[in-house]
This record gives sequence, structure tokens and C-alpha cells, in this order.
Amino acid sequence: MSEIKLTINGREIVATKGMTILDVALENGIDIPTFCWHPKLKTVGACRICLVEIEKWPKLQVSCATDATDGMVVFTNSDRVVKARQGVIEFILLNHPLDCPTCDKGGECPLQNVVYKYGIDRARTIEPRQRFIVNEDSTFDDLPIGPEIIRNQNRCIHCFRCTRMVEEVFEEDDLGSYNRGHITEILPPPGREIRNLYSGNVVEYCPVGALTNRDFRYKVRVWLTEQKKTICNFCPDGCNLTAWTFRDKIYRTTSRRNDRVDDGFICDIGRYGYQFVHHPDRLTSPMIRRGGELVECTWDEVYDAIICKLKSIKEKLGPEGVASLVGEDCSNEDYYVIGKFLRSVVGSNSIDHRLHRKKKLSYGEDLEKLGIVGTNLTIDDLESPDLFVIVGSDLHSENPISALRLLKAKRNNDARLVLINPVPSRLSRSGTEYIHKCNTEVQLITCLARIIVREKLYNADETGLDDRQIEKFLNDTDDFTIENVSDASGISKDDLTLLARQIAEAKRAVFITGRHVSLHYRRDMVLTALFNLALITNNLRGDPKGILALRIGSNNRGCYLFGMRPDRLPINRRVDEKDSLSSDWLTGVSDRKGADTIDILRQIEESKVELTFAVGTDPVTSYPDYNYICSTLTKLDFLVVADLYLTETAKIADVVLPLSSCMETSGSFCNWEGRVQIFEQVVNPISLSRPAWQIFTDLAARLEVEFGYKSGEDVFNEFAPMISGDTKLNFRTVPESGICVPSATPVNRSAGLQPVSVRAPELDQKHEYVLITGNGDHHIGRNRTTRSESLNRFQSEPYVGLSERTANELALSDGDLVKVENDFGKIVCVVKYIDGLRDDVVWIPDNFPEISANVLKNREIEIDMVSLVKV
Amino acid sequence: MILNDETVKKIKATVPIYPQRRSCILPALTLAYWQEGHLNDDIYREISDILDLKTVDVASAASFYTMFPKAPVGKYYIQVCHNISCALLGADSLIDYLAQKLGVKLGETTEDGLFTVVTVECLGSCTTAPVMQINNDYYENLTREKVDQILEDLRKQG
Repeated sequence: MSEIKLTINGREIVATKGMTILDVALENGIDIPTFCWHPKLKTVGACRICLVEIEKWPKLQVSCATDATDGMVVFTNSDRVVKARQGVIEFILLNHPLDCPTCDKGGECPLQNVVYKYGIDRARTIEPRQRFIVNEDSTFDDLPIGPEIIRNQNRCIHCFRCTRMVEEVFEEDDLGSYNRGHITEILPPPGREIRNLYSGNVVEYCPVGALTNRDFRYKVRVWLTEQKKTICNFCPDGCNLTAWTFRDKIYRTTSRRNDRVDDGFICDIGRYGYQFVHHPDRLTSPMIRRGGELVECTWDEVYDAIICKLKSIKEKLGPEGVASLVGEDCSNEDYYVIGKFLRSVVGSNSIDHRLHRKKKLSYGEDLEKLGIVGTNLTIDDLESPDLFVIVGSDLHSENPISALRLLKAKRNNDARLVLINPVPSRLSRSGTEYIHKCNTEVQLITCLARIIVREKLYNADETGLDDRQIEKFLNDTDDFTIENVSDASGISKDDLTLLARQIAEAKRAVFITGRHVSLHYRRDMVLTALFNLALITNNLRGDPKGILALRIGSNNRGCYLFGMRPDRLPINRRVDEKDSLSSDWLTGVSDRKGADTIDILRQIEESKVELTFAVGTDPVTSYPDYNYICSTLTKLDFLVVADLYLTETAKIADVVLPLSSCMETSGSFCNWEGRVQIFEQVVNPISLSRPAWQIFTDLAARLEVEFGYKSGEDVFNEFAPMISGDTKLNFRTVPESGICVPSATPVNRSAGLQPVSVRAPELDQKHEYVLITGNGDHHIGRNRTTRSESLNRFQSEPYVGLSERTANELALSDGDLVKVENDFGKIVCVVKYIDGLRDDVVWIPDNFPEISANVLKNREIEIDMVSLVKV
Repeated sequence: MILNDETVKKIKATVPIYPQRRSCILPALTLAYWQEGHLNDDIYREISDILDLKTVDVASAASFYTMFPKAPVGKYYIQVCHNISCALLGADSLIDYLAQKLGVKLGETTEDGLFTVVTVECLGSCTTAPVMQINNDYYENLTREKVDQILEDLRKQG
């Protein structure tokens, strides 16, 4: 990188070779207008508005595509430049309708702003402007081109940001340009709509009012709105958002570009998901069960009822008679205060967020010793590997914005994407996907490691593996020969060998696991097998490489960080290490581990727990055993549910507390990197709702313990020094990059190769299909996204996904009703063919209120098996 | 399938010629046009399947090239030049005459399915203006009388 010196507008500027004039100017605060150029897209140099004058160059040049060179003398605002830009504007406006008063982009339109600045006051042509007539009777030529996107081609200035973005950044194929010259138009391909998961970005990047979305258009003028900083809370990526409000109502959320995290793009779930906040289903008042019915009451009444029960149960059963289940979408502040309340005020350590688990697993501790529970990778790091091995994850729907970084790596350094999944995923279009037979991950991964070892494709020096270890590994895993594994997994021997060689060749590989591994009955083994593979290929750590075990809940990492587990305190300290944390409230906390979800439920059955708080979680539809969770929770003497809506769990509660969403309070979230990012309060709490931190602060006060929090900010200020190690840090001084809390335990390379084993899962042989659940199109989790009108426009109904062959065998066509059943329950739903799905798999998007797949699950059964019957 | 085996074979044969798969789009569109006489959305989808490209790329390339008809045309596809040299020598009135004589508007096909008239940009034969192209043949130095004769001859051929 050599340094160059150039002069812009008489100012001497030092820059790096390879930068364009525009890069240098923008970096130094010199304004040059742009339309087609955007920092996140490749340069095309099409609109010519960024013309600048360069000394000794006879013609003006486009600054976006001209490299800055040493000694260059540039003028960005000379008379010649201004005149030329006016000329460019005149050309752009030849066909632009100047319907600004009725255009929704007005007030935030880059074209309007540039014309305003360089304005010309007359047109030299008398010809009528080109119109793309949609409706003869109207002058509004608005054409819906997707569930959310509306196009007005008249206003388009052909910068092609939208089509380039869809093609380059998203690798999607649902938007293109057609025809040429002034009649060029932007349209989806014939017979299709623009409906990719990132489609909303085209509206944000459009420099004119040609693309708008149904959600926001003509609802409010932008200059009347207030903007607040918030953080997306639908997946653990933690994209930065701006919420636009007017009179205490949110009208839209847009990307608040943070290159470290979201790189300037957000998915549609983040863009339209906010609508859950103002949904009429929101709880408006606390409710209490009287005479078998839930009736509205005051906060004082519910608080009194809770405190009264709390005292009597504590007296009867001791503090451990009280437990709490928390959801993974709450804020860090909520977790901190809930933990503080339960541990220090009530005296119980029985608190857990892991509600999706059927059985106790040994993994927590073991994997922690290997150092692969958290991660030291950042989203940024995902730009530089040359190989991604994605195991058991539909990254596109689980972590949409992280997935874009993989595509960026592919674009910039030819990174390869390999997916090893039980069901097909959307990302397969950008890589090679191997669909394996369910629950053969351990064999598969270990087999790959064996191939690499046997073909001597590993580096003994770099990996520090000696012959003895290798030999032991080969002996221990001699069941996993390529023949056996190929038979078991359904992936051909050639594919296995090819895959192993690709992994061995990679210089920097990242192994990413997701939902299917997270919910795997032997998650520990899958990750241990990956540990071995990464160790053998020297990809455990170092430059961006390693294992990234992503989890489902949006603030899952916050749960870890703030001790939402029976054995953990804030910053993931064990309960017996409380002295290492300097906080007054911790002194009285019991050293004894509390109960986790499985134990809490057992203790409820045994009447050892009689009061349970369920905060922001709906176990009745999410716990993987519907019958058991219903019978257990109804056994409780007192169930307190705090949630946004009257969920299925709330319906059986004794008191229901209306919870405020993250838009109605200030606080912070922790994304999968361990980055704690703060958000401002966007609107006032809806009706009588209160945020969880406030509810537990109020309850503590009624037990004569004053926490003294007046806002989420106060809570943050209390724990900020604890997590950052900086005593001066507070809500107001958090840097834009957030606070990065590194993984507690680093990767332990010296642990050596780990033993792996497989055992047959406990399953019901009677049924022939394996049930796998996931996210529907444009939905994540239950309850919230289905309450967004915009997201429901993409998909609003559940379905049962089958391979075409399976459907045909059962004489089922697309759209027919099918009954999915086993000994535990049944679901009746319409059939949809899924390309690439294995014939023995039933796939159900588990987001919609009509059905919940947990009725087919049982906690004793490790693999959910079902039968199909045509209705 | 609209495209026959021979066309598919020829389209596949273009793949090794180019360093980039996308470069095959234009030859493929041309081959499809030679077979069908026009292009449409189904053909774009077929081509994108054959070449393993995105339909959007094929459709948008096809739409850029106005000389591919996008709907069925008559047996004789009459393209009359309306650019400067031809226009100076009366192309406009010739076009009106042609349309009137055939009883169609520009872009329409006669009821018997024989003729479609469209205007076209410069055919590169200004020295013999006005010019029109019918299928692959040029007809030059046109007059109304010549046009009458040409149409009559073509009608006879059927």
C-alpha cells in the first residue's frame, strides 16, 4: 500500500494508492453527489453526476471510476463541474416526472436534493415525458412487483442499484432490467415476483421514488418523523436499525449501517417485523384469574397477588419453590434484573432459558472445555475465509445477514460454500449442498476427518498431532469407513472424498452449525466431531477460522452473558465463583446450583416448585413435548406469565403481565459475536405494558429491596463495568461498535483428538417419516413475525413439506390436506412439494398459530417420527 | 418443451466456445428464434435451464435486442427502415401505405397469417433507400408500385 498525495479543491490530501477520487473525497468530507455509485455495490459509472475536473485532463471524469494518483489536482466544485452536473441533471430529468408533491420519496430523495443544489430552472424539451402506464385513469403508475415492493417506472433514473444489489449481493434472481434506452424497466422475471428475503433493501437503496414499499408509502411524510436508534431482535445477528416514529407510533425501520455488523443491509424480517409492536393482539392490561377466567385488573392487584403467593410458597417450600423460565428474545437488562430478583431477593437459582431441549445433555461442560461453546469470530471475519462448511443450518433464514457475508467472501475471494444438511436450504444456490440422511452428522464428519488422515492431507507440524494420536483416532473410529458412512448417510463415496479433499485444501475454513445441530439429540457429539475435523485440518483458530455454533434465540448470547442458567451468574461465572464479581447483590446468592428446565418441570410434577415465572416465552407451543408441558404447567399452584400477547401459555396462567417490547424501553442486546449493542426507547409502552426489568424491580420493591432502576439505561449502567471491565463506561458512552465480550474459554487445541461415538437414537419404529421443523419464508420463531402484516404477505399459512415422490406415493398433490400423526398428537395441514427434500422427511415451518409441531414431539423420543395419512 | 432436440444440441454446443456461460445467451436466443420465429417467456426459461443460468439474465438480454420478435409473426416478417436516409426518400408514407394495404397496424399480423409489418432502425443500405427487409432478403429502392408487386408475388407463393 503506497501513499499518494493529491490536491482536491486546493486542499492537500494524503491517500492510499488504489482509492478512487470519490473515495478520497468522501473520506475527507468533500461532498460529491452520486446516484449509481454506492459503497456496497460495484462501480458502474453510469449516471455521471459525480463528474470532477482534473488539472491537465482535457475532459471531466467520473470520480467514482477514476483512480486517485500522486500529484493529481482535482476540482469538485469548479464552474465547469457545476455546469456539467447541471447538464447531467437535465438529461436525468428528461423523463423524470417531477411529481415530487405526490411522490413518497419527497424529503429524503437524493435526486430531489441534488436538483435542489445544482438546480436548473427550465427544461429545453417540449416532448412529453416517457410514461409507463399501469392504469389509464390514473396518473399514478404504481405497479406492485412483489408482496411488498411497488414500482413506479416513470421515476426510475436507471442507476440499477436495485438489480445490481439483487444479483451481486444477494445472489437472487428475482429482479432484472428489461428493454433498453429510455424505455428500460425494472421487473421481476416473467411470471414471478420480487420476494427474496432481502427485497426491502431495494427500496432503501433506490435514489428516487421508483421503488417504494406497501408498509410505509403514503403513511407519513418523512420530515415529520423522529428517528431512534434500535437493534433488530429477530435473530442473533444484531443488525443496527433506525426506527422512524410519528406521534408515538413506529412507521418503519431501516438499516442504520454498521459495517462491523450488518454491512448496510437488513433482511425483510428486520424491516417489517416491527409491526408486531402495534398489533391489536398486544396485551393491554394485567390479568388475573378469578372464578376460572382471566380478567383485567390493575398492576397493584397482580403485584399483590404475586407477592402474597411468593411469600406463602417460599415459607412452605423454601426459596427453591420458585423458578423462572425465560425466553431468548428479552433484553440484557431484563435478564440481569430477573436474575438479580430471583437469586438475591427470592433466593432461588432455578432459572433457565433452554426450553427447546428434551433431555439433559452432558455437553455444556465438555464443549466448554474444548472452547467451542462461544466463539471468537466476528461477523466481519466471515469475509475472509476461503471455505465455509455449513452443517445443519439454513443460515439464510436463521442468520440472514451473516449469510450475506459468506456471499461477500465468495465474491471477493472466491470462497467456496459447502452445505451438509438434512433438509435443503436456500443457500444451496450459492454453494454445493449435500443432503444426508437424518442424524448421520457425526459419522459423516468423522468420516471426512478419516479420509483426510488416510490420504495424509493434514500437516503434522502445524496441527501438532503425532502418529500415536492419529493411529488411535483411526482405530477408535474404524466403524466410520467410507463404505459404512456412505451407506448410512446416503452421500456417495465420491462426494465424501471430494468434500474431504476440499476441506483439506482450504487455507482458512470456518465450520458453521445452526438450528439442526442446536436441536440435535447429540449436539455434543456433532460438535466434538467437528472439533476433530477442524483440529486435523488446522482450522481451529487463528486467522478467521474455527467453529461457529450458532443458536436460535435472538438474544441467546445475552442469556449466557447474564446467567440465565441455574449454575451461572452474570458474565457466565459459575455460582460458586460469585466472589470474582464485585457486586453487592451477589453476596447473598446461594452457592448451590439451581434447577434447569428439565429439573424445574420435574420438580413441578413433584410439587417441589409451585410458583413459576415464564417471561417472554411460550413453552406450551415451543417445548418439545406438548402433552407433558401442558400437564406440568397446569399442576403449578401459581403460574405467572409475562408476554406481549395472550399466548397459549398465558391462557393457562394464573396472572398475565403485559410485557413491553424492546421498542418501548431502552437497553441492550448481545449478538452471536458477543457484541453488546444498545438501543434507545422508540415509543412509549403500549397501553399498561411494562418492560420485564421494571416488573421485577417493582416486585423487589414490594419485598422491600430497592433496585432503584428508573430506566433500562440505569440497569445497563450497573452491569456495564462488569461486562466491559471499564468502570467509567455507561449507556451514553458506549461506542458505536458496542462492547465486545469475548468467549469465556478460548479454543483448546491441546485437548487433542476427542473420542466420538454414535448410538442409535430412541425413536418410534412404527412411523416411517422423520419430522424436521424450521422457519417459513420471512418468519422467525412464533408469535412476533406472524403478527406483521407485511411478513404475512410473503407467507401466512403453515404447510407440510414433502418430497414430490413421497406425496405421489400417498396420492397427495400440492395443496391437498394431509394428517401428520403419531402416538402423541396430530396435525392437519396442506401439502407443499419441497424440491430436494429427502423422501423420508416431513418438513414443517413452525411459526404459525394454526399448528404447532410440538404436539408431535415427546421428550423421551429423540427423533420425532410421524406417519402421513391423506385426509 | 418448445425447443427441439436439434436446437438444444446446438445451444449446448455454444458452451465450450466462450469463457463465460452468460455469453451463450445471445447465440442461444438466435438459435431459438431461428427455430420458432419469435421468442417468449417459456423459451427464456428453457434456455436458462439448458445453460444453467438465471431466467432473469436471459429474459433481460432478449428484451434488450428489439430485433427478436417477442410474439408470433406472419410468414413474411416485413421490417421497413424508418431512419434518416429512408425517411428522406419517403419511408413514412411507404410505411403508411404498406399498413393500409395489408389492413393492419404496425406490429400486427394479417388475418391470413402471412404478413407482419414493423419499422426497424437503419438496415445499412442507405444507398438504396428506401429499404425493407422481408425475412432474410432486402428489397431496395422501394416505390409504391414495387411494394404492390412484392406483396403480390409473396401472396402467390403463399
